[in-house]
Amino acid sequence: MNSPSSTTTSNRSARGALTTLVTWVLVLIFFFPVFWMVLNGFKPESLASSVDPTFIFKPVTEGYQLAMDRGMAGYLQNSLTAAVIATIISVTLAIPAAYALSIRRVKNVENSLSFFISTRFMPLAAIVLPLFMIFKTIGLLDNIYMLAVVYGAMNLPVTVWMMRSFFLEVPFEIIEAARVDGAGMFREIVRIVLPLVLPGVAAAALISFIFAWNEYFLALLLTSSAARTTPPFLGSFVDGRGQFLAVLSAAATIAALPVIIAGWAAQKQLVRGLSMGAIK
Amino acid sequence: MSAPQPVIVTDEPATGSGSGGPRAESPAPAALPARAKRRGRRVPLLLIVPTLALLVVALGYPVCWQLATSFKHFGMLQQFGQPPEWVGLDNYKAIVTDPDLWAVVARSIAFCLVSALTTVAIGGGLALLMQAVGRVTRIILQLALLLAWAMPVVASMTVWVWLVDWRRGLLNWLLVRLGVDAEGHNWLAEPLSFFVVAAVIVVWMSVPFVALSIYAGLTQVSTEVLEAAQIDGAGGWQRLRYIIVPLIAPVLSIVLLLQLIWDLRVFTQIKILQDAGGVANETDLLGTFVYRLGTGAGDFGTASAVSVFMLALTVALSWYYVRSIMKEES
Repeated sequence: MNSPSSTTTSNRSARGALTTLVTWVLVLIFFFPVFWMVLNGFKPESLASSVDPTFIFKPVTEGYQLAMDRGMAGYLQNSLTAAVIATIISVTLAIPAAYALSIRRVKNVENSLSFFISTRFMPLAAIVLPLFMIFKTIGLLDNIYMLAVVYGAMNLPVTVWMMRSFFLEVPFEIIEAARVDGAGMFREIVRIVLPLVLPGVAAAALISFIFAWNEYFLALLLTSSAARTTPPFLGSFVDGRGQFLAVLSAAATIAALPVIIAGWAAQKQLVRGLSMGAIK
Repeated sequence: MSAPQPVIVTDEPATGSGSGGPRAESPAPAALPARAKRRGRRVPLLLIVPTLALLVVALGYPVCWQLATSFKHFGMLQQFGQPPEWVGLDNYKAIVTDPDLWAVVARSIAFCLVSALTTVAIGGGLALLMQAVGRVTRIILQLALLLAWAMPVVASMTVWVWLVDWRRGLLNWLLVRLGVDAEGHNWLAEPLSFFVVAAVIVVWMSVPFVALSIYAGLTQVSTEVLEAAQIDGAGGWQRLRYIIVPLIAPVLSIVLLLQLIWDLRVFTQIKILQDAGGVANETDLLGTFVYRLGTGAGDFGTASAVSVFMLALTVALSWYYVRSIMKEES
């Protein structure tokens, strides 16, 4: 018979080992698809689509070459244009709006707030056909700048909502002190508030960028060739025959790389931003 | 500022730390001169106007267009300039009497319920796990979650399509080696297994957000309360059931609601799985149904009616969310 205390200790360490094991299995589950995509991108086509999965092979860049031959650079450039412009639009509009919803509150702030929140839930399907028709009528279908503006608008509620929560954490004493010193509102925002909430602005900008970079549904419908972005290009590879796995993986890796690097670099801000309940 | 304060847990569930965000409640202190006070009322409105304007133009106008079109006959001819004919409620009559639509609605709701509940359950489990393991393991887990979250949906879909592919997929390869007769079984051909695959993928993609949000909520639960309960002899399960879950209930309900709303409008995953070999009309959910009506059949009138229906369903769901947030705010 063990003494009670030693039983608990051995129990606890056993349980600790178990939770660690479970965690690693989960890490594997979430990591594997990413890992497999990167691995497949470096395989020759014959190996990538072989029946038995291969883990050890001589890496080749054939897939990357083929993806580039299919004009991937152009799609990437379109994605970058759309994502950068959308981010600039949503961040520059969201900073004053978030300020007015947190530090210098608008009267009836609840009404504007609920409006922002509700637009977050708009099903894309509910606006995509009208957008399609409007763009078609004014001849701006397949125009990357129009797509960027739509993305900017779609990101706005999220960025406003997220930044507002960061703005709320600015101690009011600091703002009060600035006001007593005679700082105008513009100065107050640029010199006092923005430096304090910079991590929040960065997180909101990053999430806005990621959303626009990854968006598929609108891009599929509103672009066809000149303005086509990377996600529909990737989607066009997927067919019932499971061909082109290596090319597709290589292309997907290139598309995922900027996001993964950005996510890695800004991990802390992103986790924080995600927990603001503001994404997707 | 001390600990991160997620918006979604603004009414601090932890013991009486209600002094979360007081500065916002006092925007115009009496000390300010009258001029500034007056300006303080009008200027902030101007700050919101550009945002509101863009939202009205880019989101509001299309919704109005959609509403108007749902009362018109709007087919291929109208797309090329012929004026649409006003048909009143005909489109709505057509969809309400269409058994296909009700099948799609039923499927969408079932799919959305199953995926959202599973996502929150797994996400909650992961959040608890993150709290239980050491710092290094936790960071690695968070990193893996972040990777899965940040992957472009289309990119991760390509891997998933390969995983379940009937000839070269890893799933069948593993099952065959485990002695299951799965050689050449096409998981996407049957609606039921199609939706199981789709649900697994949707859950995999949504769990990171849920897990990180719930974990942020968990870090707000005060350790003193938990220790006190432990001293009083509460076991792990009891602590979870009677202390942790009630305290993080606001986060849980909001995350669940967000998942319900998002899973109701799932599109990309279903579309790509259909392209990879699903039987389209038996596996349609609301998103792909509208897409097919609008782009395939060119019947914008009916598609608009379905969209309005979908919007109403979402508004009904999110109304509760908006109200509960508002309650926390005041």
